[in-house]
Amino acid sequence: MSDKQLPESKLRLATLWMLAVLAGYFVFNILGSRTVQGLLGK
Amino acid sequence: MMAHCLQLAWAIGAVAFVVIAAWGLGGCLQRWLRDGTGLLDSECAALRFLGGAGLLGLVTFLTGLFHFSVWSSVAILAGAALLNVRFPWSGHRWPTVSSGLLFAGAVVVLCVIGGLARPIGHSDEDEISYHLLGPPIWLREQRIAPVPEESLTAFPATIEMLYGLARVISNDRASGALGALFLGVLVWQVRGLARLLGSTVLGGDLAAAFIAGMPAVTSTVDHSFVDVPYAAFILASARLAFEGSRPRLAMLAGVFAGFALGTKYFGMPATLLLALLVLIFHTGSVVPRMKNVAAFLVATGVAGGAWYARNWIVLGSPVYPPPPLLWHWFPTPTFSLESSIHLNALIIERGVGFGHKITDLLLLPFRLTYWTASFHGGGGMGLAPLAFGPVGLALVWKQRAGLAWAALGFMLTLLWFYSDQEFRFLGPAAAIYAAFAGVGVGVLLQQPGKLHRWLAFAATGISLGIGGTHAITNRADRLHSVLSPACSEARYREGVPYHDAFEYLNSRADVKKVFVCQPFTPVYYLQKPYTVALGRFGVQPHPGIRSVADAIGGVRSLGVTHVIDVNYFDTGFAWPDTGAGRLLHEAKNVRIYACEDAGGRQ
Repeated sequence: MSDKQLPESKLRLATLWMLAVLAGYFVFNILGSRTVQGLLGK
Repeated sequence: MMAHCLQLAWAIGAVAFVVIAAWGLGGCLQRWLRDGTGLLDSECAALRFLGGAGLLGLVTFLTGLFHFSVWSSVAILAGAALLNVRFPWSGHRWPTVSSGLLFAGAVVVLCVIGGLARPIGHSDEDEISYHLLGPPIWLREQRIAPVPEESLTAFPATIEMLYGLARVISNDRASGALGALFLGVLVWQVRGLARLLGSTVLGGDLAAAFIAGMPAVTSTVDHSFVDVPYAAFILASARLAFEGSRPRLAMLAGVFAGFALGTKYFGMPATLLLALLVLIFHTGSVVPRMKNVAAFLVATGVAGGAWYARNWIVLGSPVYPPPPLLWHWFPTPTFSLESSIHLNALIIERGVGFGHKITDLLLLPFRLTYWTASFHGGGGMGLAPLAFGPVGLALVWKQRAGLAWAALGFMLTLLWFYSDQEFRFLGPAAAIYAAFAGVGVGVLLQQPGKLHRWLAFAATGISLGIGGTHAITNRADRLHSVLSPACSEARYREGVPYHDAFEYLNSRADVKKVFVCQPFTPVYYLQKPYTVALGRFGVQPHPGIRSVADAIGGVRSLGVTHVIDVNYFDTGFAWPDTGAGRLLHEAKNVRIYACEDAGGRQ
């Protein structure tokens, strides 16, 4: 598998998935953190 | 300063002695591990040490049933070490150091240093209440036996045997560092598994970094817990069980499953699960598969059954404390059905975790990733398993090995989900997630294009950033106390409840035996023989004595010279102020009495 090439469609899907996971992290662990909520005055 | 450094040097020396002994005993398994298996050299070395650790624990336990002392510990360690005096690194090809391995190595080193801090805390800390309670008592009793009033000391304790060996030949700093070394073993195993599943070299090294960067795995690794060694045993067993369809491999897999069985009760369902997967994934007709399952289970029983046999013979039930259902088959005189029901309710309450509904199961991957504050600020698993695991799974699930490992990961997760949802119990499954994530990220990083590579870098960076930060902040006070004698002293004084009272009792020669009124008193710090009326979770070590009130008239007949009574969480003092002893020492929430007979003699 060391030289495995992913088909374009699967690579796009994997990219979208990683983007969603990172967005989730941003929402839950950055915007949702007490520090940020404190800065936002919530 | 000098005393502090000497303590550290003794502890490090003891850990090194135990490691060399485990390595020596592991030499017995070396030929089987190398013979026709596809294990990497680093993985083979890790499994050799791990197998040796399991054997060392078993040998210590079996000999300790008859005799346990400093000299017997030294003899066992020296004998095991002399079995193979070759240096650990001779004959092995070690991998090239990469950033992933450097990260993993740094976390392991941090954890080992943190493990050199002295154990502190109240009786709600598992290492204080039972993991480390045994060795000083075994030394006093000259044999290894469950502590009567602390039912959890009857748990299988293969790894605690190693903690005990290190402790009795040095001091209380050794066990945490020894426990943390097993994270290093798990790191090599996960790297090897990722490579087995087809990952690139970079992917394998990142898989190693992902497991070392999982706060859920590392948060208690230097607390003399046994969850990481347990995960390593399960992973080793599965690695060998899925390696081929030969009975000898199945037997060797069974030996490691037996060590898991001898480390945690969770080893029982995990072993059955592994046996089922051997039946499904081994090739050939039904008869050879059944033979392999039989070989696996027999080896498991031989390597891990001794703990259960001891419990059955000594305490009345192979699983002690027995759960309510088992209690009806094995009623135990010291642990009542009522206590069993109470303990079971506590475990169920503690194990609620994220809930047990189907929706909770579907949300589990997201909660394990994003709900980092859950499980007392456990820190989650990092982003990598969720970001790359599905990619890795999609790449390998059509291969037999990939499907077998995916099935094991899924079933271990289900087992965790429907039993006791304590984050650290998820270790074996988390190791598999990390390996799949390594496969996924390795392939993603070699694809042409930029966006997915940047995203993979970002997810890896955040994941390891969370893990690295947690590894430092979670043990900052431990690290500080190892590096500074003053901080060590302050941390010990602050972290040991009723410190002055224990110091008072430990320092006086006229204290022969202490009666402990409150079951949740952390007797780990008491260096004198003691007894109780009622143990934690309702154990009754003395027939006819069910409370402190029952004991007041009879403590002298138990050989008691002093009484310690604490006001635990404002429940009040249990020992009456007048008539039953002379108050010798009083501090915040603790009192010590001298027991006197009618003539006023102690």
